[in-house]
Amino acid sequence: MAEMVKTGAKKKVKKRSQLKSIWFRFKKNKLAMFGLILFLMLVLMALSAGLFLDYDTDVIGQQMKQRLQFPSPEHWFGTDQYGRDVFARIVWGSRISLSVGLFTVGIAMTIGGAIGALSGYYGGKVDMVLMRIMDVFLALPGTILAVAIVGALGPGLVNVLMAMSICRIPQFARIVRSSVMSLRGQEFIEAARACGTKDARIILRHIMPNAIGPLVVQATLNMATTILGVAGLSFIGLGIEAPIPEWGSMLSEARDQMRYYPYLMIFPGIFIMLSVLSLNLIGDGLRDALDPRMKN
Amino acid sequence: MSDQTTYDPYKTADQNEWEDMYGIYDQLFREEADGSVVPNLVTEYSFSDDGTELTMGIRDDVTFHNGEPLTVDDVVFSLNTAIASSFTTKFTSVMDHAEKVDDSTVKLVLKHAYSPILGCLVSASTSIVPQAVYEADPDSFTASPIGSGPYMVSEIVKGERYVYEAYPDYWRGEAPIKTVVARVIPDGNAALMALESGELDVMQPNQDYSDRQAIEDNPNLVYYTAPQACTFLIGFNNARGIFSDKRMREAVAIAIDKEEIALGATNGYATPTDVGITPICPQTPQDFKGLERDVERAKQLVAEAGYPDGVDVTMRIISASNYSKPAEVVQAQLKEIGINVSIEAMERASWFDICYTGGDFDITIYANPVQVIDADFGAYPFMHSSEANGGNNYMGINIPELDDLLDRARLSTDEEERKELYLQVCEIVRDESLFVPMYTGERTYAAVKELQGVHADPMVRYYTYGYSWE
Repeated sequence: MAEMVKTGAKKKVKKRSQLKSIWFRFKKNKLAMFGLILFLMLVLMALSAGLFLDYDTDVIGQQMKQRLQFPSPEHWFGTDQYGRDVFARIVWGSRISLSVGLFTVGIAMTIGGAIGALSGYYGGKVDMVLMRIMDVFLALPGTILAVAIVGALGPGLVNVLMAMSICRIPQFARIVRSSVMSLRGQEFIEAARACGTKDARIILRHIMPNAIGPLVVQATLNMATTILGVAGLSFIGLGIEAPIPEWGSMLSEARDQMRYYPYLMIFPGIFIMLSVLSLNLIGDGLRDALDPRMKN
Repeated sequence: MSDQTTYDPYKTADQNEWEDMYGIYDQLFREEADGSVVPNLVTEYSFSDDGTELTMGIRDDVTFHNGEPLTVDDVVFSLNTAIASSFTTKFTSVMDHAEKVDDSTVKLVLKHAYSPILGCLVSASTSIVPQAVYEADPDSFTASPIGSGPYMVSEIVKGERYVYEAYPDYWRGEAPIKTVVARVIPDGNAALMALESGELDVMQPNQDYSDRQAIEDNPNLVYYTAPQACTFLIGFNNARGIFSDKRMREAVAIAIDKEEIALGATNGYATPTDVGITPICPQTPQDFKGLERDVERAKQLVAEAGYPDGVDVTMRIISASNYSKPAEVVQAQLKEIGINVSIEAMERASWFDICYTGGDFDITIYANPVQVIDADFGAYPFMHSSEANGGNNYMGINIPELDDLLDRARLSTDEEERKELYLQVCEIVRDESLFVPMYTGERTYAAVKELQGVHADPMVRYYTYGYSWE
């Protein structure tokens, strides 16, 4: 008994130090830190939006008399064709974009992870069936699949979320599957199995913690592409419906006016770029930090 | 342009589909650039004393694209087919039948005297087709029509382009422009860029006027305008659903601010209007006042109608910026009175299927167009109960008193009396809030400046035959 407790305690200490060393390596990467700070600022913006903005009046309320005003101290990013403040809409839009990114990746990671773990762990027929299904999804380019799903279900926040999640599932399934397969044959798994540990516990307790690294990297990078994808869908009118201030639909609405009022396009564009850039930098940094070959 | 779903002149009620048909078919009469109606296939014509019979001599030098001569039999067949169709009622509901008098004369019998009748015979809906070909296979006219007009269809790539070649034996002489390529460019900004780069020579600008300034500022382009023969309106399903309740319709009517809608939807190029018949018609009442705007009262009406906590409705519109922009402003304005609108934009052809002929909608935005500048055209098809359920009365309006006024106004030949009757019609539209007229603007067309013979047309009738290069 005493022995086991001891090893348990040791493991804990080791785990913490591993996280620490990852953080240490991540911190050294200046670009990744820049991305992280940028991303945290966007998150802060999204969280605080409700404090100083009222959705009905500031974000979707139309002030036709103040339409199409260039940026000024009163309207930092100017006003759009319905007299809505562009800054307020962008701030509120960060909630939409970030939460869609977060939810999509969350759903895709959970479902994709489960599928990947099952097929990697059991192999054989289970693997065969699950992976062929994933191949069907992978055979279609993500955007086209998303357009098809939204086209069938109709536009709207929930449908876009579903479409984007479904498109991302196979990628996660593949990554988790390959990690699980390489771990499956290792001795500590065999040991756990020999002790009579149930499969579910082996997967969740022993395999997943070791497979989480690539998953986290993929999730971060995927969030960036999701934000871009949602903006793209909204841009072509299949995404989030008016008057919800999604960045992509703001770009789309601004197209008409861009010749004479370019700021309507520039500001949402900058914010899409910043959020995607920050996530990509974080993802790259994480990948380097998690890479065991970089350890020293 | 948008996609052409059919070239069969008797199987569509959408005036956008008619545009290219003016090149393919001949009509008995045609419209000149100044708007006057002149004989086309007709040599001479006369009315009987009571005005119910129109006798027309038909040209004998006209041939169809298959080389066959156009005969009186073809004219009689075409008119009778149009009369039998449910899509053409705007133009044919007053016609009883056509008959052959002799080999060069046809007689059109009307149900009653009708002064705008010649205007009806200009429409693509009364195009002349070859009887033998149409009878053999009417479906062939969907994609490979045969007419006697200046152009023939030579290539169709759905969603991309429609190519027309000049018909060399056209009776008025071969068209100066031998090949016309109509391109489908759904995005107005892309179309404008194509026009600026010389890829396009002529185009229909954005109907929300968002590209107007850019075209007017460009020295190589000309922006043509003409009054618009339609009024943008908020249409209700009067027959069923939430807006069959007059209180709900009235709430919408008194909640909206038309000035703001015109500004937000058209950059202020359109003029707000309160009158239920489009103002371009000479019989339309002048200085007609609508209901007073009263947001508080509107809220109260919504509550009285049974929705004190607000109500969700879906607005089905055609997916185009000239409908979606006003829809977005109306959406914001109706939110204030507790009507939460979600906008469902659909393809033009589906909207016509589902909403216009199918009647499956609660609230919509559309512009009732007139094809003959007469109040009868702006009122009768859209409001008379005989046009409900699949005809042009897509809003399902059914008021016997209104039917009676419309019938009397149609039959009357006294212009003063007609004006008085149409005033009463507009009063009923307003008092019952059958629909809410919003604004009317200008029809526009844009072309490179070297292209001659282009003009904007209130009824979007474009005769490419008149175009030529400088």
